[in-house]
Amino acid sequence: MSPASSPSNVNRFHLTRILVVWLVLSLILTPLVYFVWGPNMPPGDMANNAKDQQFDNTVLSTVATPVVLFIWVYLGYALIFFRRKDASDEEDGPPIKGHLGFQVGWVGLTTVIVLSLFVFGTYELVGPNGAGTGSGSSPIWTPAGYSGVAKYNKLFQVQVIGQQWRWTFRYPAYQGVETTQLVIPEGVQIQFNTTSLDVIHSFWAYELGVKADAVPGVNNIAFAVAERPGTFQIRCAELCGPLHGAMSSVGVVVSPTAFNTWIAGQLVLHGEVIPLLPPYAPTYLPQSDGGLYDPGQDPLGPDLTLPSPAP
Amino acid sequence: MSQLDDTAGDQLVVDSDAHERKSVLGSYWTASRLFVAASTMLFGAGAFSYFYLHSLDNNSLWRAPGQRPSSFLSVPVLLLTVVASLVYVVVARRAERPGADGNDFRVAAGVASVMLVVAAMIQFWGMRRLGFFPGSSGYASVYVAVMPLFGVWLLIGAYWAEVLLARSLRVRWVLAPVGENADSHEAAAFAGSLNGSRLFIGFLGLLSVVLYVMFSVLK
Amino acid sequence: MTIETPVGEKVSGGGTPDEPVTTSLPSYWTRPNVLTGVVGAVIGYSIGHWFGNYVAADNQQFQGNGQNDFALTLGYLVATLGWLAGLGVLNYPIAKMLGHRPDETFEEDPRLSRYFRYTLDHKVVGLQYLSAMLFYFFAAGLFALVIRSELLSPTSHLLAPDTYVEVVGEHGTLMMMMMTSAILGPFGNYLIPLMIGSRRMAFPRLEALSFWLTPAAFVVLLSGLFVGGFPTGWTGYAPLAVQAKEGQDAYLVAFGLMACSMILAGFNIVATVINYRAPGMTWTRVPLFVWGILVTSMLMVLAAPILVGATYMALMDRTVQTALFDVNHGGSSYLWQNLFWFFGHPEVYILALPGFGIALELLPVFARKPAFAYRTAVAGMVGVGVLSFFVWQHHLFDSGINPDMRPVVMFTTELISIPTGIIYLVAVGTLWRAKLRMTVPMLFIFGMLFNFLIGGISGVFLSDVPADGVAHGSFFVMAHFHYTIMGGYIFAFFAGIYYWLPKMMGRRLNDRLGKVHFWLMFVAFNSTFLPLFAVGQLGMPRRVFEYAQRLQALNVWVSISAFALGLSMLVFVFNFLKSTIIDDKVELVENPWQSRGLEWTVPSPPPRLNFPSIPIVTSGPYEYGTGAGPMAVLSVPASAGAEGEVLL
Repeated sequence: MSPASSPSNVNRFHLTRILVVWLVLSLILTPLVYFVWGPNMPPGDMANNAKDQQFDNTVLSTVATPVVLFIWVYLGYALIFFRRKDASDEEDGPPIKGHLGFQVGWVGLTTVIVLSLFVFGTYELVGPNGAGTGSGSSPIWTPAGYSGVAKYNKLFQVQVIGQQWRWTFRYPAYQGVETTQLVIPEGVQIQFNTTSLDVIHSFWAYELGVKADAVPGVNNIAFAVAERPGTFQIRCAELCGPLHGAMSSVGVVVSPTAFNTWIAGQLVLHGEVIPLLPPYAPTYLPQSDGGLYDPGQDPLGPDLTLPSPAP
Repeated sequence: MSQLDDTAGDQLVVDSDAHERKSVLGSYWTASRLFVAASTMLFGAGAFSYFYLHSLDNNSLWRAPGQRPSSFLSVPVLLLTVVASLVYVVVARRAERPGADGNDFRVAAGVASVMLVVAAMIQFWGMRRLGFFPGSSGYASVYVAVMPLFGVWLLIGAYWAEVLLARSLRVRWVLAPVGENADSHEAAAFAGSLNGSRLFIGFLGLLSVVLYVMFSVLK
Repeated sequence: MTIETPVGEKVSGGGTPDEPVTTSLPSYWTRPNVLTGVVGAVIGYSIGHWFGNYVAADNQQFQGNGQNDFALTLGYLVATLGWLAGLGVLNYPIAKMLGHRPDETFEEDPRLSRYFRYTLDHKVVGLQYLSAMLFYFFAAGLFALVIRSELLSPTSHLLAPDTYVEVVGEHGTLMMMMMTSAILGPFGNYLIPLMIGSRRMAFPRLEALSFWLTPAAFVVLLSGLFVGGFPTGWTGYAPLAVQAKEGQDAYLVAFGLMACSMILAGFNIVATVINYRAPGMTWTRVPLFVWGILVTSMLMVLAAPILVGATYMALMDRTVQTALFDVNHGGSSYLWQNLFWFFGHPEVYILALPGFGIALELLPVFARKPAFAYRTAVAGMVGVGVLSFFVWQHHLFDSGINPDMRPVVMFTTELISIPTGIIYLVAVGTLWRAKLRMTVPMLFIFGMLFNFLIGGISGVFLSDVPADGVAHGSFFVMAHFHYTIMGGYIFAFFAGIYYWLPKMMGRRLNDRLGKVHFWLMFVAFNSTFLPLFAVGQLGMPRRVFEYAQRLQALNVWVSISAFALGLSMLVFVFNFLKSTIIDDKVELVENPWQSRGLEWTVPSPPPRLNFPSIPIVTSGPYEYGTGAGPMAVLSVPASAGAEGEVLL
């Protein structure tokens, strides 16, 4: 066997060609993904969460690009160059059963990539206070000013109520007025308290980068800061019945002064209704009213009288 | 046309009886362990529901104080199941050894089968006389969901014991096969099933204790 | 009780593999068959429904809808029992209670009618599964075309909203429910004994039962359309599931039945692979396809019982008004989500692993090289299976559960890319300096590798919690799982059909039509699902009939591509029918792919007992280019004459 065609030379020959093609393509495409596509990635940059999600998408796409390119280049190369000469070629290929270095390298490299993505993802989750995802009723990563106790909580509160099949919004700091449109002030840390009256919905404010499931009996908290005025799409992202597809709305981000004007107008508009509404509460189920639930009246209730629930 | 080379030499002799026997025994061993594993997952889902709803205590309605099924229901079910499974496991283990007296096993299998059926019937009958509605609390819901399923599992155990009893009555040598019978597929299948039933019915006994602790002991 | 003899010796009554006795076989119409099964089902349904009403009528516990639900559920369950009884499945279990021994031993029935009754030959069951799975797949695909027709317009135009949500649910549930056994059922059941050198399955009755439960599940699920359909999609979230009309019971019962089918199939396959391997078939010589099916079966056995539990609990909530999922009475909506996804995530690996198994099985054959890093491949598949139990909470990232679990689950979910990547490692290594033969099966494998890569990478986006905040509940998720399940698993399914049909039916599918099928399917598939990543990222949620006007162009493109995808299926159906039924049987080259596999060493289709005598395995299945001899040699029976009883 001539030195030129010894197995290690053949290996090096193919490997070089593959790596060169891959490297060239990666060096072209990866920066394009990061610098050109990145700033235009969904969901845009209208809110801090959206920006973080956009950055997330950018980083993940950037890491994915060389990985995907490698497999594509390799498969393409194999299809062209690792093929039998013609239909009459009955020869078998070289009996390569494994290559410790390659296996260790591959598994090692994938492990490193995966671990880095994990660290990155955790950082992106913790830093931005949950990155706009619904974090339950006791969120751990919270912005300054947050408190689990309502009276110490300094954040701007909006309650998002999902029901079959529309969204309504209540503002506890403004007499608990309930509106059908979501308007929030820009530049202010908002706390979305999401709950449902019947089945599971999901509050997805697209341009704000907020997605929090609306679960009955649960107060699902998400945080966001809208950074410039504009409108944002609100969709329901969890199948909640036949009209799930119609459960959409448009929210508005306005300047704080414009918000004050608007909310004052809402208080006037709903003035007669406000006293009739149930008192503002994190969840709305018969029990949380503190007494409306009467076991004696409930045909499915217990025979025993339960102790009255905690207020 | 076969690519198999059938000009075999001496070293390519296979005792196909022995191979088949080993495969049959092993299959029952594997399948009975898998059945116990699957059952554990099923009742594990029930246990998960219990502890999860307990930890959430939504609307303070996990459990009314003192809410539990009557001891006239839970204790007989527990005792019947535990005794039946102990009897069966002990006697079946002895029956697996060569030279055992088949009649011991037949009696034990019959008794265990009847006891398991009675336990299941008591459990089903008791569901109508619980003293609390199914939806009255999380605890009640989990109880009403899990215990009938347990009753069904008791019936499966009873069925398995009864089938082995019936087979040992109709084919009398199957418990202690000798000679040519000892090599038969039938003997291997019976022995495998016997071993599996011992494991499963023993599992039922353990499961009944766990369920009793969950529903009648824990606060 | 007759004793079978393989070669040469005649026994009265039983017949031999070489000379089956057909004259003494009873007529199809006098034994239990599909039609008696249907009769049993109808009778069973009536009894169950009547009994349900009888029990529930004056019982306060079944107030409101509960009575209808109870009657319907009981009707379905007793109908299934009746179906099985009519098929003759229950005959032996009942006879066992009287101690009777099994009387169906070796029987070779060459008539076509054997496919339409309960039978213990694993090869017949495999082909029954194949036809059934193809039928279910196309039925579910038709629902998909209805969905895409509705989505041509951004507003409701073809279907009423509740009809639309029913169609979505039927499509999703049919696929996720029935397709779990699409590879394991036909190819697992048919090929595993052949591949491990066994003459039978460990528990043929369980195997046949697992098959006959599938038409019951299919019919029950479709019947839901007549009682109002179910509005929850395939994920069945409570409390919507408890609120829903009677069609939800159909969903719950059907899914429960299918879970039982999966568990029973799992028992049988695991027991067979562990215990019925031929002498010399060590664990390092077991084909990678068998490993894939083995891990899949373990997942089925361990995960499907949770689904049985969950669906049973939902039925309890709907009928006897337990409050398991009702937060008002001490239950929780999260209970369903946790239970369902604890099953649901292993379920998607139940779908992915057989596809990996087929890919790793076919690559050495068409690359003419040993499987690269065999042990690593096994470790990868086992790793995927084990890890799949630890990631289910990634479906719950935005749901409001305890937030500190999320980084942990993000970690485990990202980790699962490592064993999945190992599959690609083996594929890459096997292709290195190969002598590729680009046959139709190989085209589908390349398509699978291409598609699954995209699907898998999109999964990394979903595992990252902030990125999941955009993608969850949107069409991005849809694209992700269609790329992994359809692009990966279904492409592998078709690869398996083209590859193994010559073995199973002695017929080869037309190559040219096969290539048309592949290219049309591959292009149409990518054209359909690639834009959906964008559609999802641009804000379109799942399962909606209305969407933003600006997304209409993309949706129309996708819908047209979906119809092209449907057209590619027609090409396949035409090819299939033409090659198997319409065309005359052509003299087939026995091993058209020149594969070393043990299944290719017996005639096509194989005789009743597969091998004339127990084979002794002497080398592995992937020894291409090493100069190793055939995989096995036939053994000589220890005693002349009685070759051993193969009692079923």
